[in-house]
Amino acid sequence: MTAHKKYKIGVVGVGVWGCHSLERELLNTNMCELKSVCGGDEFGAGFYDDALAGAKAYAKELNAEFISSAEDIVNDPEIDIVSVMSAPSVKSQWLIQALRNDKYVVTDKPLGLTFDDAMRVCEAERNSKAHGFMLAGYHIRPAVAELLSLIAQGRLGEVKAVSIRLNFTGGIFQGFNPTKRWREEIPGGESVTIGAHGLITAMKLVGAPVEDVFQIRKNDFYREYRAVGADDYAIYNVRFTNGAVANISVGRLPYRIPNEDISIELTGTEGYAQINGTELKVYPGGETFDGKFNAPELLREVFTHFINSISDKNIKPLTSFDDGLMLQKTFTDYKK
Amino acid sequence: MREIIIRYRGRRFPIGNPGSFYLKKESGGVWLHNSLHWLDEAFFYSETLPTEVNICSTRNENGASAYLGEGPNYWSAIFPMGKVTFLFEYNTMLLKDDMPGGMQRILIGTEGEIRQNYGSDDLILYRKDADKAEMLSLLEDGGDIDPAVKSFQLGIDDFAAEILDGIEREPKINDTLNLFELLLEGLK
Repeated sequence: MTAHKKYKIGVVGVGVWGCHSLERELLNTNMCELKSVCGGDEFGAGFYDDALAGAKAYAKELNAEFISSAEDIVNDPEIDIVSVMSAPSVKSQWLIQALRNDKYVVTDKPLGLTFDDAMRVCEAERNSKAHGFMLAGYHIRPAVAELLSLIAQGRLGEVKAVSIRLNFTGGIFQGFNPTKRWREEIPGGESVTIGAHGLITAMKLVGAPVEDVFQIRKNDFYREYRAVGADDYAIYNVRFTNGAVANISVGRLPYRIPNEDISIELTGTEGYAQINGTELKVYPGGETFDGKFNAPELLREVFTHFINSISDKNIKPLTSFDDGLMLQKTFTDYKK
Repeated sequence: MREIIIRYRGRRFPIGNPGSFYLKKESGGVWLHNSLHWLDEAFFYSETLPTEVNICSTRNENGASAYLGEGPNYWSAIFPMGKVTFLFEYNTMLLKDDMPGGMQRILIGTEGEIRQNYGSDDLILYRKDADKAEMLSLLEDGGDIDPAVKSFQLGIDDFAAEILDGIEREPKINDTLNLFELLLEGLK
């Protein structure tokens, strides 16, 4: 790959619930171009009434070629990066095939439906010349990134405990209609959708593998979720191999909490830090860091980082597939 | 009511005598000494006794001995209480000077949330179908009496009334013993 050539993207899955069209973020780096798109009902429950027609329209909108077989995308020698925007139940096969063909991959969390799915994806990555990036976690936010920097500098000493509260508020996602099919295609409801962000953030802050997880998944608020067996609230108690612990509560709340984003408390042997929304406070001293950010600009930086990781092997993706494997372990190993 | 979150952050009450029983592991430390207050409070809200507890504990020993007992000085405890779950975080690891302290309470129901932020006596209500948070007016205060004194006075008045009429008041002894049993479980 020469410096001036743009990376070519292929997309597998369009309009699937829980997927964020990460190819758009790659395009925003101005270092990529979209070559082809494959979508349809077989990639998971989504928001199009006619998934095939929706995928064709999406390809047209982005001036890409519509391809009817995902095999043709992951086998296309011209494709450099595959954006796998499929439901967890079918996602791992496309991640694996792309990696086997030494194609870089981006995807949302989680890596698959089961821990075995995630294991196979990571094995494929280990045997590939390429690697993947899984978008998950709030460690990319400036306030959390600053906290991570302070931890790395030793300002807080050894991290002993982390607590995280993260809620999506204001009711069920607009236009989303939970179905049994959707539930069967994912490892959990909001325990996974929102929980993944909380868990990955905790893992990054502690910086050690998860040893043990206790979890309660609940349906507190929505009969629509209850009808299909999906949780809308979850609490995790996590123990890490270095002795640190974390509690994480996540949920989709039916009311709004203005200006609230993620809440984090972290206690180390030398200090304590608290994040409320975008503000970080560090003690002793009480100094404040204002981590306000522009979301599109932040995502552009995140995906530029991923692109840079392709050409420079010293740059690691901000959330790796090994992180995804650890995440999947917490979903699989829970004791409740 | 669906979720109760109560958090304490700060350090334990100081014990100057290093040989004190209150610093020994067998005393149960501040976990046993203080947690019943908040577990009792959560039971008061949920009206359902917990059936089990899961606890993650750890220890920060980088502090003065007066603030360090034996054993853990941080606990994250999850108590299922029927439809309600109680997440209780008891963090006495903020051992240095100039650290924040206080308690946070969050009560989550199907129609909204009531919150008391760290270091505040105010109660904030977030209600479904409301765009703004509401400040809740507190119950009638004790006039010139310090609120902490008043709270003890209410408890003693209740107990005196129980002696006089023989009718057991909340919290009932059997319920409290059940709660205490789970705290002992947490020591394992």
